[in-house]
Amino acid sequence: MSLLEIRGLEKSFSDKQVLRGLDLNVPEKSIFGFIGKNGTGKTTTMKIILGLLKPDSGEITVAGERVSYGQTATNRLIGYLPDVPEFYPFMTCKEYLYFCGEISGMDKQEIKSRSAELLEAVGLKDEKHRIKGFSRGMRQRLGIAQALLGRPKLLICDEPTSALDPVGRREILDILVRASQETTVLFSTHILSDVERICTDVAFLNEGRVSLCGRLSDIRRSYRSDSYIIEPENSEGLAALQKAFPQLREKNGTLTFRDSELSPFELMAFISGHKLPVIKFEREEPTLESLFMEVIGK
Amino acid sequence: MRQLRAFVKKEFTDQLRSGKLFILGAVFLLFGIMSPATAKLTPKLLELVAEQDSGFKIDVVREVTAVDSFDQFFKNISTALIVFVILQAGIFTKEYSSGTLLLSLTRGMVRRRVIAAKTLTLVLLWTAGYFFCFGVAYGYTAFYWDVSAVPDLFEAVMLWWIYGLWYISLIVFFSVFISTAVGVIFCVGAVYLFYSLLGMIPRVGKYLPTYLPNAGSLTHGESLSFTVPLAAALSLIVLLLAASIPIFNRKQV
Ligand SMILES: Nc1ncnc2c1ncn2[C@@H]1O[C@H](COP(=O)(O)OP(=O)(O)O)[C@@H](O)[C@H]1O
Ligand SMILES: [Mg+2]
Repeated sequence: MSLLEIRGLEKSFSDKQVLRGLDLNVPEKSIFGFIGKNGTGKTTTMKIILGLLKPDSGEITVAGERVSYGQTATNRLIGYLPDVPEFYPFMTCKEYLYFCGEISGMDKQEIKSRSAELLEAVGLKDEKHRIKGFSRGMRQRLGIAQALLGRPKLLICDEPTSALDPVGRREILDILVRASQETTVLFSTHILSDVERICTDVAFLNEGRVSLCGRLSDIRRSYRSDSYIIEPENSEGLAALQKAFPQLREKNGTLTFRDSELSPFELMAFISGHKLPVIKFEREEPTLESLFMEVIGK
Repeated sequence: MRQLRAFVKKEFTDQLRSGKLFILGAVFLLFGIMSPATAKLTPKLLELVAEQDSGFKIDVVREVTAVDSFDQFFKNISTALIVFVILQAGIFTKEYSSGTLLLSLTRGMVRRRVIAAKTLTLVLLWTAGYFFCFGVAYGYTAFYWDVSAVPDLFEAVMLWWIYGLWYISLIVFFSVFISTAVGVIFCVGAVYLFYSLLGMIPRVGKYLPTYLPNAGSLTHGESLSFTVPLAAALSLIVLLLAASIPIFNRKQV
């Protein structure tokens, strides 16, 4: 069952249509990467899920419950980390978490034990200073702690790693992986290597729609099945192959084809029959980047 | 109830740590001391001037009394109110511009409770500051003069307090539309100006909330009626606060 379902979401800002019928299913217990270039509407989508923006049309359910704009009851199921999280600068992180727990109606003891556990997990256990002086990375980590405080079913993080250096990014990704043991994680990003590192599911957002969506392993497999690369050792080999198989496409000394166009076995037979030296003959493992480029038609 | 309490507590932590509470305390204390002090010292200063400057002769026509001291109090408290408004005009807008409200709201903080908590904070600060200021002034005045002879002091003090509450409701109301503290101050000022101009029309002035500060004259034994301006102020307060809620509910943060 999908924890989060979005159907036909549309949203315009003045004359600019940002979302044009977006559909999305986020399965329970997934780490879901919501991928899109800057300005494609990731933040807009997330704000609509949280009832912070009113969609022009479309329907969203969280755990089967409809999301409404304004007073949004479904938010009790969601932990949210905005793209630029802002906390009361005059508080310490412990005080802030306590405040968060109180306004969401948590039990006093539960707030205390849960905050201690989360601050430990995000590495802010010994931080006694006020939030005023926190770095970006510390703010992101506190942001994740506050989002996880109420043990939400769904954790939504808006570009949690974008503004961080590689070490900070690594830390945040590790925290998300650990969080995924008890909750479903939906995070947006334009950094594909982050997705490859931790996501189980992905959706590509392009021109206001989700153009590709599913389990990362399935997507990889379905794209993998049909693309091959051959790299002959020398130009004679390259020329011989091109002559014998005009379907091959050449690019910087490598040849590519799909098995719908050509049987790989036939090609292998030809290579071994002519004793052509090759450096590489492989079934292409598509990188997310190549998938992404293909999906958005570049 | 717990949400409200937690939010009010947060507001007071802010007031304390940003130094606003200290500034307010100092201002109200200062004006509390200044009122009787001015009343006490003015004639002495005048005498001093008169003695040095032999060309002039100033007659101290009448004895200074507790009424003069309270006159000074009602004059000074309007300055204190201005300081209060300027200091607190950003109580909402600061949260819009920094984006801190967003996380409270997505956590389930009920919007009308945000209004309630901030209004309550302002009312508590104004009430505490105002009566602290009055308490100091009253204490000193009672020390120097006989306060039992001052007529209608209680009414005057309460009316002026309500006048301050009206400004709080104006701050809250304008804060649900306007996103900067300066804008809020400007609008509150504009409302004051509007009512002051309206008050220049003969026979209209004494029915407006801006007539309330004249309550100080009650202590002169003048018989003025404050029923209409009081009712006007109270209904405006209720109206402004009630109107703020639906507007705030629809506000995009
Ligand atoms: N409040 C707004 N008013 C007008 N345009 C907006 C507003 N918010 C976002 N947009 C526009 O909508 C598009 C999508 O923005 P956003 O959702 O922030 O993208 P992303 O998070 O994917 O980078 C952008 O082109 C942006 O300019
Ligand atoms: Mg964004």
